[in-house]
Amino acid sequence: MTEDFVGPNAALDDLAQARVCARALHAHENRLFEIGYEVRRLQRDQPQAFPDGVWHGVALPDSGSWYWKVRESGHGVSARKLPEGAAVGTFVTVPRNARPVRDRLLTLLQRLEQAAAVGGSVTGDDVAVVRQAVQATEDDEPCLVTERLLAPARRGMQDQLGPPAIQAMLGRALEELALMRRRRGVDLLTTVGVGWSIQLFGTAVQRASSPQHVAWIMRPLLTSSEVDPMALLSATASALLDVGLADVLAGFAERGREASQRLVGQALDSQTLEEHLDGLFGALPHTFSSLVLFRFLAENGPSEDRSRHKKVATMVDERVVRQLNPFQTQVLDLDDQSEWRRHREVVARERTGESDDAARVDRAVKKLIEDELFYPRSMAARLTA
Amino acid sequence: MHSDIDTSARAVGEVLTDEVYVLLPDDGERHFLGEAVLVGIAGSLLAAFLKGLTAAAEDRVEQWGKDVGAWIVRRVEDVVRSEQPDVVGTEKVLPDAVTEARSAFRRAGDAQEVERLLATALVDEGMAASEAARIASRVGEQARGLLAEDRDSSAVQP
Repeated sequence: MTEDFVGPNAALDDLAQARVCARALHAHENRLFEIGYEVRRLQRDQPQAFPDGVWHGVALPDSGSWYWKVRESGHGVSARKLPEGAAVGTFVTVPRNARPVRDRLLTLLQRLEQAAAVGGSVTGDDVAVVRQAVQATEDDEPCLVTERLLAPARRGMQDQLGPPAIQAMLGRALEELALMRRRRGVDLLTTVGVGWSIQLFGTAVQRASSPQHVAWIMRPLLTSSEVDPMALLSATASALLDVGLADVLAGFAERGREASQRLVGQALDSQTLEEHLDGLFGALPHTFSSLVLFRFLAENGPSEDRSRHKKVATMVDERVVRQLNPFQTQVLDLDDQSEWRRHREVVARERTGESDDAARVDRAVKKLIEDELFYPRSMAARLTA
Repeated sequence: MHSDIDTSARAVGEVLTDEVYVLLPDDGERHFLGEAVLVGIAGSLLAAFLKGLTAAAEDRVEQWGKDVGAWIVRRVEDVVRSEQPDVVGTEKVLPDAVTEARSAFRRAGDAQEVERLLATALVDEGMAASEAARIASRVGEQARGLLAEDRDSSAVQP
């Protein structure tokens, strides 16, 4: 490897690497993220096993398979079912207990603890932050947060308290969520998913006329509030639709979509890769939550808007993928900066023998930065150097 | 003329972001768009705009505005299904639209109205208003440029 090709991750110490991995794990449901990462890693290490023009597949946990094909034009398609008569090139099955990113994070944590024990640049506080991030990747953590926050409101409903009292409880739940976020490092997806649910319930309860009405609106909490934040958001959407508040749901979904784009813009304007991932990490929960609501509206909302909401859901879904990929890319790049090298080679190829070199190079850089979101704009010059 | 068209389609393609996913067919498949497809979609938007100019000259621009969203979605489906999407976008439909619009185009006001109606159609398909306006503006700018270039080159023809 020449000096030229040393990537931006080359200088990251154990602590910075741990931060990259921890954010990656928090960016999406752990198991799915790990599977996506494994597929990317295999594609990097064994490119000959994934030729263009052929369908490839991956087994998903408890939910069938996913197939994809990339044409030579660069356009790709993916689907849950293999098209009739199509053959599969490579089918990836990731072992059920494989957690490569989390394992890597645990190894880094172990090294950090040893470094902190002998003194030096790594402090006990640094290690505590990483350890907290690791603990928060336990699967049941978001469900426990949801239960703790919403249990008082559920008891209030069971005690047949009126709308004002329930609204006050929801207000306190929001305040506690903000406090938990500051003190305990509750992940952003939980914060946004549960926060939106509480606000949506609050909006609906404003229109309730009696304790019975409140109980009917908030009935998802009566069965159980110990649920995944996105499942809670979906159940909340169902309750709001029943009281004719599709417009409120659509408003939240739209605002989430806008917030996501605004935060992505901030990520692109950051100066370093770590800041860039911080920005995307802030955007993703808004994108996810917006996707949950648009999907719900597309399937259950007012019939005249379903087609439009379905299209927007498709677009937001694509946005989720684009915002997630940089996390996988950066974790992969921690190995040997091969992702960075590959991207630089893509840009360099556009420079050869064409009259519109500059425009072609600009397009290649724009694709990596603004379409794929792999880097902040501040790294454009390094991609072309 | 074709190289001008290709350049214009690429210039429109530069402002197409993931917002164009609202124009994709609902076929149960998930698409990830390469540059060639984006250029094909850009070509379709340019062709739609030029057809709007022709419609305006024939006093049927309102109807064009009502139909153009569905027309674009059908064209995008063709582009996505094609193994060579840039060909679909630029080699036939777009040059024909340029030729028709060249003989029909009357006044700048028509172009502004077509731009407004195109943005409205994109919003109706699910695009955010700011993105739709930005894309329609770039399409209008490139379409007007194509017509101007066309007139310039035809002026020196014997």
